[in-house]
Amino acid sequence: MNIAHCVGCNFCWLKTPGICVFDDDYKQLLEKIHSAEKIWLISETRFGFISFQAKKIVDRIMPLLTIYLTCSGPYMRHVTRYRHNPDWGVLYIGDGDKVLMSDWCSRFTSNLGVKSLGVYDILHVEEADL
Amino acid sequence: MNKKIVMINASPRIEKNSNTNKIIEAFGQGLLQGGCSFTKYAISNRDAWEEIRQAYMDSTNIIFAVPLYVECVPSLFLEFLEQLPAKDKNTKVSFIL
Repeated sequence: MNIAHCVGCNFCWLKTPGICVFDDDYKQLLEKIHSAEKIWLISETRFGFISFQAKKIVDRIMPLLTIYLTCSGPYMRHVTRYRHNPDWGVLYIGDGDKVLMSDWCSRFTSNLGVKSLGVYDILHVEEADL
Repeated sequence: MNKKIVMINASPRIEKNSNTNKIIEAFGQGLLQGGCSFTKYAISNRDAWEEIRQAYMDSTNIIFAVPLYVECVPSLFLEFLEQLPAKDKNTKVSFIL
């Protein structure tokens, strides 16, 4: 798939709310992400973290958020554009830092107001705690 | 002091609109006052990647300035990092987040 990196242009927040300036293969992916109940991000690992290709997919979810902020406990969080957002989890292969990725997944899902499904090493199969 | 510092802007946003660049500029003024010199690069310009890699290899003092993209570094910066060659232990790297 041809997916560009998010460049932080803020068009999806300010100029064309909810629509990314890049008209690439992510368009159809975002529709799927938006309507899904659960998303599993499957990735190789680099520097103990998900690959840049996988991070790209997450960085481009900005159209699902708005520029508005709200206080949620100790955090400032973006107000989501739509009522429904999917829960996210990560399946990884390779030398991943599970603690780092679990923390990251919890943080970004809490920004979307959804649950983290957890982070799992594919080679050490566990039952996901859904 | 009198150190030569390489500052790399890891923001994917073009440099002229980059808030990270403003932070780098302000930080750079502090370095100048402290008797250091600095050169800055931006990874948002892909055509400069080879030049940035060269500066990274040639310098022993490197500062990456990184904006937060979905609770971590931007995907473009991860791609850039993957392509960096290994360096020796004399190199000092720090980050402005």
